[in-house]
Amino acid sequence: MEPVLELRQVSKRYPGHEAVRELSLQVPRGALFSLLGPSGCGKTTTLRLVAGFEQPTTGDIYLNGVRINSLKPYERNVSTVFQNYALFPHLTVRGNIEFGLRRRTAEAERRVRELIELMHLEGKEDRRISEISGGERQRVALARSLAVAPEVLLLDEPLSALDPKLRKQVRAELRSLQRRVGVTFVLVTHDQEEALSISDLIGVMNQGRLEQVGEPREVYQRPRTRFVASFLGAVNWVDGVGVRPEATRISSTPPTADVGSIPATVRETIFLGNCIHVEAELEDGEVVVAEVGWQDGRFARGDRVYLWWDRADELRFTE
Amino acid sequence: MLAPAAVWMAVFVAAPLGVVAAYSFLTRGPYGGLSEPWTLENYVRLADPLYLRIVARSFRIAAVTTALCLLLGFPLALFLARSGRRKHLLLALVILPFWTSYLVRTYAWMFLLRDTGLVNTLLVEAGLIEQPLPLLYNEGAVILGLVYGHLPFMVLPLFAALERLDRSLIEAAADLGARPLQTLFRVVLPLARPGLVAGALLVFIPCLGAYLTPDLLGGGKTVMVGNLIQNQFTAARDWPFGAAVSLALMALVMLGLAVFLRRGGERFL
Repeated sequence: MEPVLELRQVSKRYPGHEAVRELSLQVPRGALFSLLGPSGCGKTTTLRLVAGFEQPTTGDIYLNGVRINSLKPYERNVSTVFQNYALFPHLTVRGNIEFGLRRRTAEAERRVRELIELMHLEGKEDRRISEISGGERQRVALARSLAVAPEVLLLDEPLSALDPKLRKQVRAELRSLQRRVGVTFVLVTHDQEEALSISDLIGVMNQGRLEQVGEPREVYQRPRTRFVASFLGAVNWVDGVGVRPEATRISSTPPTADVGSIPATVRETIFLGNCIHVEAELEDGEVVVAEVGWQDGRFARGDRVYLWWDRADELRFTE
Repeated sequence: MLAPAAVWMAVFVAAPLGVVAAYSFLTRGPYGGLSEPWTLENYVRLADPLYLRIVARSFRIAAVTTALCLLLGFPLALFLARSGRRKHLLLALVILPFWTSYLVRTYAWMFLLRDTGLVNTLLVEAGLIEQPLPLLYNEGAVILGLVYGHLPFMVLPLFAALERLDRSLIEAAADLGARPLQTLFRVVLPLARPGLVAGALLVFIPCLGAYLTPDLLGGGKTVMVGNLIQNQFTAARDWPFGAAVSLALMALVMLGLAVFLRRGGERFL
């Protein structure tokens, strides 16, 4: 199936700084695609290139197979949920949601009503933006963007402005909303847990480059680069091989099966409630962590142990 | 803490106003002084069509000047607000004319506009016209002078309002399909309204009472309320009537503002 959005060899250079480097990616229709990376990696610039607020220095952007490089933001059928929501303070909730609807037809009215219901904004229609909560503002921003029936909805750090307690709840709601409306979402985030938990596909960016694209499980378990491996979670570096802490086991005798293993000395045992982190020092001085269940927490400081792991859990990098 | 302000207001605002108000109910003496009896005659005289025409003309000129300042000032303020690091330098240039006396600047316009002035000379030399154009001593010249003198009062509050405008709102409007002109009318203008209203008041009110510009550039032919007042206090030596016209003008402006504020105008300020 043809991707709804495609970037081919897109670069964006500013004087003295290359924000996006030869980035190519395809977003399948109906997917929730996350661009994940640290701040300054070019993910927001990529989003702005798709929205049309910035022009690529080189490369092409296609929407439904049509090159949209030269189209203005108002000519592109994509819509953005801004990080600060960018709601119009002089309009009401309804006024904001209606903004992108050209004509006040019965069809448009119905659509606005549907979105108000979908976003649980009933009774708030005539409030000003300053009179509603942060969570409500986010829902107004979503409704306003969905009202124009975009091919792709672009979300710039949609959860970062929310209370940390609300975040987990809202991210689940965002996922179920995306499934219900069926619109392709491209979401920018620096939070790997957020990306892993809600995405169909994750593109991991670093210094303007897209390092890997894949399903959450794939980028976590089969990272192609050291950067991807360490950005998505903790990694123990043992003999040049990467092993996730939760794949690292511990025993007091050398393992007999064909597994990877290395002797170590326990330095610390940290009880975390749902699991235990055993910190152990290798002979070369490297400190690694084994995340084990509480029944394996019997090791004490100074114990000589063997760390071992399934060969299949070793992280191998192509570069 | 309010006491110094109250004293200041009493000495420099209330007392002089009281004097003017008292004068307006007195009678002109035989030699131009003030004398009794107390009377309302000065206010009754204002209803004379001759004076009503002057008041109407003043309102018209002030309104046209305000409209022109808006048309010229808005694009300028928008440009300034978008000028990045240079904007404060450019803003200083807008204020620069204030470093020279308004009187001198008005005379400069006379040198530009008169029959043997720079504009007419250049046009004649270029062969575009044979006779000098009547650029000076008419209502157009007065409006030109007022627009020139008051444009900064429109630009400054507009600039302040536009500079505060969040760029992402303009991007959001474009993102939702609004063309630049639609964004201007649906987002930028409504959000710049406090600056717009402040600028309009700062231009309209002083223009309504202007007397220097109509005197010099209107050549005494375009008489505005300010000239009428000045004339009563000087040549006509009729202080009571001059005082009555002053108070009437002030009352009109205050009434206009009060109506505006009562109709919810304060939320624009």
